[in-house]
Amino acid sequence: MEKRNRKLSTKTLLGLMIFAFVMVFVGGLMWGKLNSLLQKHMENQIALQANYMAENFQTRLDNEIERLSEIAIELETGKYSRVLEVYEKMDKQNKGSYGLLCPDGTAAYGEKISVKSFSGIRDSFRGNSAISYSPEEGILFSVPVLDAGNVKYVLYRKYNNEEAASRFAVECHDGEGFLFLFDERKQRVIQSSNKELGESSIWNESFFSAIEKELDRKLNVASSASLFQKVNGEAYYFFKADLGRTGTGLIGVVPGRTVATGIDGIGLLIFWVFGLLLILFIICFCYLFLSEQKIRESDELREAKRAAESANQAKSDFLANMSHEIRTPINGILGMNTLLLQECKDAALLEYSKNIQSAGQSLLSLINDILDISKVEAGRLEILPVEYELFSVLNDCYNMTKIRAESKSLSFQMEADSTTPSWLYGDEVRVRQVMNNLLSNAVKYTLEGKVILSIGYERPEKGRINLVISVSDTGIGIKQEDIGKLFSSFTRIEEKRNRNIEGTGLGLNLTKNLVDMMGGEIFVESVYGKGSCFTVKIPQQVIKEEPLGDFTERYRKFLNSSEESRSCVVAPKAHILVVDDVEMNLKVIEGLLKKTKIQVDIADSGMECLGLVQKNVYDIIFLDHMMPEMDGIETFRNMKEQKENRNRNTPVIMLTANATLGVREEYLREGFTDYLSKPVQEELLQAMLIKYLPKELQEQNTSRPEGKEQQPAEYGGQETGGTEQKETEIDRLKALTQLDIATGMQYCMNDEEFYKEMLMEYAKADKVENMQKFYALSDFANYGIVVHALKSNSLSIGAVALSQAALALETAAKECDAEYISGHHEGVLSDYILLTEQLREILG
Amino acid sequence: MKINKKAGWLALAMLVFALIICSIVWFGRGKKDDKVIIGVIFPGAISESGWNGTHYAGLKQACDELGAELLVYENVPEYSGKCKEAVQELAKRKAGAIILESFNYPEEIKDTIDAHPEIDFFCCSFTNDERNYTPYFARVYQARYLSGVVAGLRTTTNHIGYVAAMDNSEVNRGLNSFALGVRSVNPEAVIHVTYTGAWDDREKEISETRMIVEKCNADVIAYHQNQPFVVEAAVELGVDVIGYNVGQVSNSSHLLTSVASNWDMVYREIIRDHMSDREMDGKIYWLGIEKDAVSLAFYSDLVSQEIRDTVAYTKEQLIQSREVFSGLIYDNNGVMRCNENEVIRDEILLGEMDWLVEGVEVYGEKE
Repeated sequence: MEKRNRKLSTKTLLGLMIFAFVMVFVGGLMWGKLNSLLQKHMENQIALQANYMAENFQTRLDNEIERLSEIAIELETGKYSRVLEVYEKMDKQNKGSYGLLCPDGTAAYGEKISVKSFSGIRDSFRGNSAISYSPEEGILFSVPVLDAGNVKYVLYRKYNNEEAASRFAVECHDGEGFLFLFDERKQRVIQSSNKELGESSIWNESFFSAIEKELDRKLNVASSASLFQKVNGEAYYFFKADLGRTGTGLIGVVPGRTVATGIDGIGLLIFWVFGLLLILFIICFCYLFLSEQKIRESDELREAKRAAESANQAKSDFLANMSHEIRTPINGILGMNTLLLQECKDAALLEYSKNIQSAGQSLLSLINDILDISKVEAGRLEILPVEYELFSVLNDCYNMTKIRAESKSLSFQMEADSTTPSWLYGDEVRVRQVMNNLLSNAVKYTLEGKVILSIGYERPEKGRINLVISVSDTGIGIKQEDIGKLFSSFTRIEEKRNRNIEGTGLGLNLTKNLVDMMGGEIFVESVYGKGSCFTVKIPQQVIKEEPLGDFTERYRKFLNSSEESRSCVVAPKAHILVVDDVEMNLKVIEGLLKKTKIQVDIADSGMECLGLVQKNVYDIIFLDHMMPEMDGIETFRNMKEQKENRNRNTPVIMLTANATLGVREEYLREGFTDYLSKPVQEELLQAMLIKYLPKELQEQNTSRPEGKEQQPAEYGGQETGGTEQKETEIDRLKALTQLDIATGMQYCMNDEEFYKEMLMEYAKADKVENMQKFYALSDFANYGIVVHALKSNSLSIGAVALSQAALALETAAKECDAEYISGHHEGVLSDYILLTEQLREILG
Repeated sequence: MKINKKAGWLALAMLVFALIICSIVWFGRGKKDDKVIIGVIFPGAISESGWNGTHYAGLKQACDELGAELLVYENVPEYSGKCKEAVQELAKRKAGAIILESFNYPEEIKDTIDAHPEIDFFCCSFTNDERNYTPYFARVYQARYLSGVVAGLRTTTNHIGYVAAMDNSEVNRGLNSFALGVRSVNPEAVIHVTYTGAWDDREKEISETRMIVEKCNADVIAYHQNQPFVVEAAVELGVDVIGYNVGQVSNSSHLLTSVASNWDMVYREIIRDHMSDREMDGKIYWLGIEKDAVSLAFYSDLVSQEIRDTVAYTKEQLIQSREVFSGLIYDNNGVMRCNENEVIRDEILLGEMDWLVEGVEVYGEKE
């Protein structure tokens, strides 16, 4: 990464340098171009100015000619001397002198002037007005004076150089520049006052001839021209413009700095702007570079996040699949265990079986929680609203919690608002789940005191209520800082303190998710060490405005009625078929049906089922959904299409582990009579039988199934119930922690009487004396024999710990480990004595 | 693929860079001025020696120097209507200036000149005054004056012939100047003039020459025609002849000299002014001997050193200050046209020369 960056930066630097070079190059080029354009523009401007100056100059010369022409007309009268004298006086302030020349070169008036000095005289003798110059003598304006159409004289007005300079002085660029009028002989006639520039070395032939050549070249296509030229390191604009008369014109020069102040500014501006642009670009580039790096980093982060998410998703999927897969064997285990509970008469085995059931149920609910959580995370958990009666939900929760609470000696109270509407529309299963989760948590984390479930409601609008479920306890409470963590997955607060309390940390998270999905809210109030109160508000629609009524009363009524209905169907004439590919499931159902004496046929595949239904007429068919080769629905369809099917009207009940809501409707649509979810619960199975078996086949057996319901309460396992005495004895024995009754019973072939006899025999404590004697004598051989006996006897009554302690002593004795024996003898002996004393006390 | 892409970007960047450079370089170059197109219409062929050939050579040289494109229309006779067509065609071909190489063209196409104010017209005739019309010429009469000096000194019979094309200011100016030149050195000499009525008419020119020589006993002939047919005839007759706008077209030494104009100088001036849009109104494009616009081209062996010296002296006078038409001048009807200490102005020379000086006789008028 670092290496790549460095490589990138050298490359980038190179690119940047190339770009900078290009920018500088382009900038330089542009500056040069701009300068040349501006120069060109200035040249044009100066040429234009030169043209104006020339025209202006021309006009002034023309005016002079015009005036002279007027005088010439006056002179045609012949009285030239007088006229000219008058004008001479009149124009004195303008200087210059008048003269009149004859064709033979003589002067009729004024100074005699030769054509050599002023060529204009010839032009005028040819009848034209003329201006001519002489560097020595100045400027001369001449016009012809006619006599009968021919030229008789030439009238002139001559200004010497000083006079001309003052009369026709030309200045350019506020005296900063220099210009002069040149004649046909390229001589300066009139020049402006800037002597310094006028006599500068720039007019040297070596410089100026090339310049004038270029100007003349330009003059071929224009009446004025200008040229930018550096002479001796100084910039100048030279210009030249023709006057109206051939061969004459203006030549001038302006220092570059006089006219180019603005140009320098523009050049500087370009320089600055370009430089700043370059800097701006570099900044932009750096920014882009950095942000590109950031983007790359964030791409990497996003990629990592995506990978993590997909890993998480995979985990969730795995979890969901595993949960599902785990449920099947658990169902089998629980089913088989139910059979065991029904059939086993051995109290110890029943105890084990009960433990299996309890652990199995915990595992199943755990798995269900995990499944739900993974569904939530995968976004696959749906809220499926149905109509339900609130009472039945409360009833179930109450029942379940009551048992748990009682087993922990907690008091459990239900405080339900009797006006709460009872018939609601919502996701019954999830409401139940939320309630159960809160209640089981409350029971779990409460060591003493009580748990209260309050049901109330708010009514935000007609036809809707917010069902308010509030569970408060007097448990360990939650620290304020932990409340935030309460609802996160897999988090258990105060891990150390609560390590004895089973839990996965999924319950509250799932609850919160469920409440959120149902559009409800959950609140927690808690005082650490005093107790907590969880309140959930879930919006539900009201189906019927029938109040719940007094819960306690209804519960009592319900108990009575359910007591009554608790009966077992016996139908020896009935004939049913169970189809499932898992043998264990078949066995479970078979076992559950055993006491009904119903004739059960089993089939382990859809094909077999199809064969059987052709042979026999069944009263009910239980058909598993998930089967290899031909699943339940397929089998059902085939069955319906069979011509020789003798069970067209037989109710078919779907067995399914896929107990989600909405599935029922699907099955019913398919034509199934009903469905039964696995693991099969005996009560539900019974209910199905009552519902679908023809009444004439049913024989109601109101007596309870043998030795079943009492199991949780007693260990005695006697059919007619044990005496008070015995119950107390057993209870009290149970209270002895040293004693493992189950083990003891095992050694007594589960014969309680025999066990008791054994205990009584044990209680005599006949080995104390010998133990002390041989210990005192340090007779380890005999001591070993005594503790060996103690070991065996203790094990046979279930005093496992003592037996093991004895074994240790026996081993020590064999190895003559006096140190160990002396260290442990007293302890074992006192345990032995204590146990026998306690037994004697219990057994009398 | 990646490299191709990279190369593509690089190429694009280089292209943009090149575009930037190009736009900087090209920007502000301005549109290249269309080449100035000058049209010219000749009454004869430019391959001829004489008027057409010399004018073409001068014009071509001036155009080449100034970078103008020259479009030539040859053999367009006066008053044939073809001149107008040629002008219209030249206008279509975007000629900015049209030089009419025949004296009577401007009068002939006066309306067409008015109809094309965007075109500058030039001609040697000073008769028209349209704003877009500019006359130009060389002061050929000065050279004719010098040639008159040669003729006056060469004649032994004191009869000199002059074959003139037409009776107009240009021709008469030249004739008068020639006559003044002759009589400045030989006051007794008579100049016999005959008008052929055409710029180019070989047979008539030859027959008139023969007639003047035979009937008037003339031993020197001068002429004012486009082509040197008179030279041909005179050499055949064994009399001296003074050429006009020709080189040494004959090996005979009877071709004493030729009146020559440096037309390239004149054309250079007018085309330059046209191209640079200078104001031409009021400017006089009538260049004289002082600017070397006219001269005598050469001398034959028959021109003695003495004659040459006289001519050189006269030429120097002209260059200095002397005017041809100055001093006391009478016409051949005895009317004084110019008094002592007077000069005849250009205006009259150009447009009002409808008289002939003393000593000129129009052939046949006396009979």
